[in-house]
Amino acid sequence: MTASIPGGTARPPGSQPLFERARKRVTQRLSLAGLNSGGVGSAKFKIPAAEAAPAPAAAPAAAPAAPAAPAAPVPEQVEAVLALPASVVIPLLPETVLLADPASLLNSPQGQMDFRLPLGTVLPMLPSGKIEFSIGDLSQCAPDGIIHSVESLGEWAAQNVLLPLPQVVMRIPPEFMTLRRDQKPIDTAVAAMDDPFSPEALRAKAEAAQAAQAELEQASVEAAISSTPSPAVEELPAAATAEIETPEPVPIVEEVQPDVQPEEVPSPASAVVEEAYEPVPAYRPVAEPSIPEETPVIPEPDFSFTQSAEYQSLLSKLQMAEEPVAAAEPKPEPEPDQPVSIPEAREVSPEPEPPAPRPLHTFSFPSPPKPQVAETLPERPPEAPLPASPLSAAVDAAPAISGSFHKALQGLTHRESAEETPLVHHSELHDLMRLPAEVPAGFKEFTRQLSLWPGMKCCVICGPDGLPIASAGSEGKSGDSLAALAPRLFKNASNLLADLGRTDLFEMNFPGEADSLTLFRNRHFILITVHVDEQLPTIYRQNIREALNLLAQSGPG
Amino acid sequence: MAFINYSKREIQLKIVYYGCALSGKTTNLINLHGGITSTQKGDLVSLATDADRTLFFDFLSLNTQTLPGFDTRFQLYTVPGQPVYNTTRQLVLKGVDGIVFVVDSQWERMEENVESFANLQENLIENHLSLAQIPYVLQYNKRDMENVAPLHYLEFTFNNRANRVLSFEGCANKGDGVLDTLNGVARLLLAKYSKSAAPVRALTGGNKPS
Repeated sequence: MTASIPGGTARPPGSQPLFERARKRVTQRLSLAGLNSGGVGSAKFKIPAAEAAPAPAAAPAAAPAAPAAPAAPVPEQVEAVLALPASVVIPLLPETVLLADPASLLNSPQGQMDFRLPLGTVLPMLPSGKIEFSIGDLSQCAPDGIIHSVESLGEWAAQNVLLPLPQVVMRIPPEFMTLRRDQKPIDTAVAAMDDPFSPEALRAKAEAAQAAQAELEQASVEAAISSTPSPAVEELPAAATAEIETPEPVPIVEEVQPDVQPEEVPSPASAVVEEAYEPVPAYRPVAEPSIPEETPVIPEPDFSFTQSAEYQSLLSKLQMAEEPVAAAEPKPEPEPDQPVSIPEAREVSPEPEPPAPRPLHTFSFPSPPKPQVAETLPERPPEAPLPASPLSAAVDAAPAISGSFHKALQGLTHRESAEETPLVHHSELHDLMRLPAEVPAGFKEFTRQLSLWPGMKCCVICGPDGLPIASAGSEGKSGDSLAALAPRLFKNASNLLADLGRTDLFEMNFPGEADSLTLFRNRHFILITVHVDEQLPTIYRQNIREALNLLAQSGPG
Repeated sequence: MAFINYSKREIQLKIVYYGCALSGKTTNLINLHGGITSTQKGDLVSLATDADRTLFFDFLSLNTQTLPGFDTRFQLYTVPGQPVYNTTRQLVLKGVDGIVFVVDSQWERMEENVESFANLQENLIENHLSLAQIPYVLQYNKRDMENVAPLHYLEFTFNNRANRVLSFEGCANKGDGVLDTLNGVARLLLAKYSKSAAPVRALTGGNKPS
């Protein structure tokens, strides 16, 4: 156990010792029938040690109030004392006030006796978390032969001694530490309410949320499928249509040869009808049949039937049908049900020349436009190199900068599991602050780098309400101190700006003899810097303002 | 005060974990962030200084409705516990709806706990609030340590005000009591805003005074 003797808290002149004040107050408030009020030595009963701890004969009154309730009633056991072993108190006292050296006192019979502390004084001290007596008061409670008398203590009498709280509390029966009787109990509605965040409820909520999410995703997938356009070309978007409209290798029929050979055609009528029902045949180039020399002479074809009215009507129909020829209908299709009568062969009359066969339509499909891709990309004009920051040399020369990211991140990881809010990578910010490009910057790193600038002592970045976000300093704990003061600085500066009617200012400089302070702000952040020179260099201020704007763009704001 | 987002049909409730340094506030929040399986939870945002940090994350509770047709989004914050960051704590407390005061149960931290509790009340006053207005719960953390104060002493010290509040034992590093504590303060908030549902509905603006 270690002694804790705080520095002299002098009692006001003329004031009574603590013990006397407590005794007077108690005797004024309470009087127990049949008991004579007296000093400590005339206590009617003694609070036993914690080991025995029987309940006192008299029922304990309401406990004194918590720190915020000074008007609490004082227990009625005003004459009660707390027996604290001298072996606990003696090591806490300065040797000057003792009648002998501590070791001999502890081994003497006096060392086995108790200090008899008035409970009426101790109990009100309990809610303060400390039991503090002056040496003068303790001397009145001490057994004989341990402490000098109050008269001979002189200035030492006012010296306070902190008694060990556990030793004191453990010797006070719990009945003396009951709650006040007029305390309003907890609302029954609150006490009876179900826990909103029981583990089961949280699990159920999570499962329900996951199920809802899954349903939502499923619904979105189904909606996407149902809304997928049909393969019809006209419903596709333009780009897709352009691709699908790429023409198939449809044969280009320049001229249709009568793909009939005399022996293969059973009858001209049936051939025409069947052809009408057949799909468009694939183009098959038909080679001219080689006619052997010994082949019998084939009679010339008879086109006299073209002069017939039926042929002419059929031909006109065919011509009409050919007019709106579609790409997919390369061949005219006669009416299937209409019987075609083939006129019988007649003798060839010399006058009418057979009409020249009408050339069939040719279909040419334009090839899709090819993307205009240049064979070689034009060379990108060379970018102008970023202007070197005047801080580069100094930053590069600072050995602490290299790897500070990783060190800081490792420190964060080791210290807490929570991660610092990262910033979105912003190359311009990295360049400006000379931060490693491969690691996303955080506010911490921003302030750390800034505090390493030559002439900069410390800095803190705050939110728009002045709440510190991150701080750093080049000298010990200066960053912490500035962070602690930052809200008040911000508040005072805001008040000053409001009083001046210049809330539009974004930079304020407070020059000082030893250190100077500059405050930057934009809509999202406030940066407070402490530096050696009265004013920051212009390039510093420009860079800081630009960095703050970049932070406002990329940070969480 | 609760913030009502009419476009998203959400009520945003801000819960701040308060307490002295190293009492386990951050551990509570990290544990909750890992344990909450809501698909609509936000990232754990860290506003870091070298010595201490302010943490924040939010999550949407789809089934806890304080108003018909509105979902409830809980925003959980911690504050830096060190005394020097008092102004930061004041900022974080702005617009708070509920508080979890995390008590370090170790004997040697008791004085700091009490100071932090007093500091909480002072900072609430700075924000024109008080513990009588703001629902809060107590979490007695680090109960697995050896040198911890007994529960009756902690209750006597921190839960002896005019209104008794919910208190929970916890070991945040193991996750014990973390969810119970959040449930406690959430119950308080839901009960509070469910009672005041009628006046809330009458408002048409974005912010609703509690």
